[in-house]
Amino acid sequence: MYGYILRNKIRTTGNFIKNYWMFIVGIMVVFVFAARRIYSAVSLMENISTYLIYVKLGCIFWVFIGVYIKKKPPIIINPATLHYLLYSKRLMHVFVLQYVLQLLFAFITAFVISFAMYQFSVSLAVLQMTVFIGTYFYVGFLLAWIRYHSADYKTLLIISVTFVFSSILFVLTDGILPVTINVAVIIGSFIFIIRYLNIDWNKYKQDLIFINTINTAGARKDMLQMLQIAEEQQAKRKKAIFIYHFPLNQRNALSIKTLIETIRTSPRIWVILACFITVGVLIVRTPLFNEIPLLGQPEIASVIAVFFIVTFFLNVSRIFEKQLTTLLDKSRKGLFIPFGKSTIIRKICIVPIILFTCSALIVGTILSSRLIAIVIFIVGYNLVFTLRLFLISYTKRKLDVLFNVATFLLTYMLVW
Amino acid sequence: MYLSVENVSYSYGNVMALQDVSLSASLGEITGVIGANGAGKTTLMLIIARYLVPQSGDVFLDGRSIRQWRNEDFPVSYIPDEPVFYEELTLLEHLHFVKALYPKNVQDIEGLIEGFEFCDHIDKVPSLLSKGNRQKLMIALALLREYQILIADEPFTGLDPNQIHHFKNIITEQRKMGKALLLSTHLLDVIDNLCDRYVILHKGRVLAVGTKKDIQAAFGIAQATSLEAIYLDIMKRGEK
Repeated sequence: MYGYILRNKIRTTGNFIKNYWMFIVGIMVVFVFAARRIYSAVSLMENISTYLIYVKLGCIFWVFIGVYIKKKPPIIINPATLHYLLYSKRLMHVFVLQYVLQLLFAFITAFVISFAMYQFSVSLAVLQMTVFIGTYFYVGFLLAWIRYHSADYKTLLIISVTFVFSSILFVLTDGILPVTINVAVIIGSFIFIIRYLNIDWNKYKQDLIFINTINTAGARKDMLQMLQIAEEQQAKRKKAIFIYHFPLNQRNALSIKTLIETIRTSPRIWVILACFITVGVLIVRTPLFNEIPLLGQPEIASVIAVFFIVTFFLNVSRIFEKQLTTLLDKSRKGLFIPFGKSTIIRKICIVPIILFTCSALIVGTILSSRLIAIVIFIVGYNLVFTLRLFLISYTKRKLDVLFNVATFLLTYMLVW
Repeated sequence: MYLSVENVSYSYGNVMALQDVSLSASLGEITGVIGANGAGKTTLMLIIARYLVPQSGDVFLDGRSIRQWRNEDFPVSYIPDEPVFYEELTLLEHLHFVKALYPKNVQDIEGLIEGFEFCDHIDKVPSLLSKGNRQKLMIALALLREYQILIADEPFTGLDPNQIHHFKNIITEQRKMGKALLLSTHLLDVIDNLCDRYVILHKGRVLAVGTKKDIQAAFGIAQATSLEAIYLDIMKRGEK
């Protein structure tokens, strides 16, 4: 049985690596550069006590997030494992293994931090610091696990008192005393977990299913399912504007639905997209980035600014393309729309066309673009976008390269 | 005959789902399509609703091939076996949206909310609705369309006894209003005595068509019995 669990884990990890190897390589490169920067920064510091307090506060913040902010369960296993082993003793073995793995994780993280603090050299002090931070992290993990399953006031109070007490000791003292107390807290927590903690199996199972669905979709790079999950999560949030607040009729129903769906797109996405366009505009209009190599040269800065602005327009286009393809897909599965494809596209196009026009006017005005360039961008981009929607719905061909090049050229004209 | 399915065949790769299937349905009539899993019921429904194109044969509505109907006038409303929704719209928004698309339908939203007991759920998105409520919403949306024929694939799945009773009343009302109804279901006791005619599908072929009495007579089943007993008897003979 354990072999099957391990095999499933290996398979999921394998799929993840296969689909995200470029991303993983990128992260590793960034990590190497970051490690070098940290190394050179730490090498310059002579006295550890000058930054020890910041490291400790960082650790407390990390544990605080784990105990109070994170909604995910601190122990994540496959929901199928939980389902099939719920009434068997083997589940206990799985959990014991998880407690050990978490202990290892806490100590490895603590060792990396200590190693960096002592200028990347191994000594007795590093090992002492590892035990000091590691036991504190493990206390944090156990408190998070108890908190995840507890809703009663009394338990929450005990958790908070323990967290505050351990954190104060962690900040104010070093050496054997806080470690001894942390070990005592760990033993006490285990006794509490075994004897008194009522594990909320239903909540735990639901959360594990949700995490597993996301992980599986992520490992398979199944963007459609990931988007669907994101949409469902987004849809659960409270809403202020409803479709029936508008004067709905047969002619405008699809356009209003598009508007509502656009309004309900995660605010995070809009913030990120707004950041892209802002950075693009700032690069061209202000000397903010002049110190950064390459961005100081106007020709190169313009091209980079265009890339930022293009990213905004392309991603907004993708949002509406997805709305169209989803609508057509659902229409084929039972939510029939009583219009032909071209009518559906025309009705959906209204909202993005208004959005693109307004965005182009704002960007063009800030960049002091020529009026003719703004007009050409508005007409050209809306035409290209509409044509792409027709292509996607009739032929399923996206012609990404052509569309991206056209967007780039039109934006370049707008920026110049 | 308002609906006429003529010699329709359809296969998924090498698997023959429908083989030379012919049947018909009239306005003001309820037709029950019954059969085991894999008999071809859903494929038949999907072809009539124009979600699949038959590989041979054709389907006619009011004398015109379904391929000739424009989307705007297509007189079919379909309840799929798997509910499908817009994730971002609430229950009430779904009703208003579909109602706006079909302005000539006289069905009022308030009546549907009351009849299907949606009052406590109108601001919920589909992912927060129970299975039964999702099914009821799918039925409500189908009723808001302008149609002459309502095709329902396993419409009773997930409904409680009260709601099954309510939906049966709706079906009967629709029949009185002169609509044609085509119901596919496994729940033979639910549609027993509800449908005017039955079509028994087996392995993609039509095994029997007609009223309960017609089918009994055709298979020599003398005594009055339930639809389930008739179906099981026919299947047993087929095996022999």
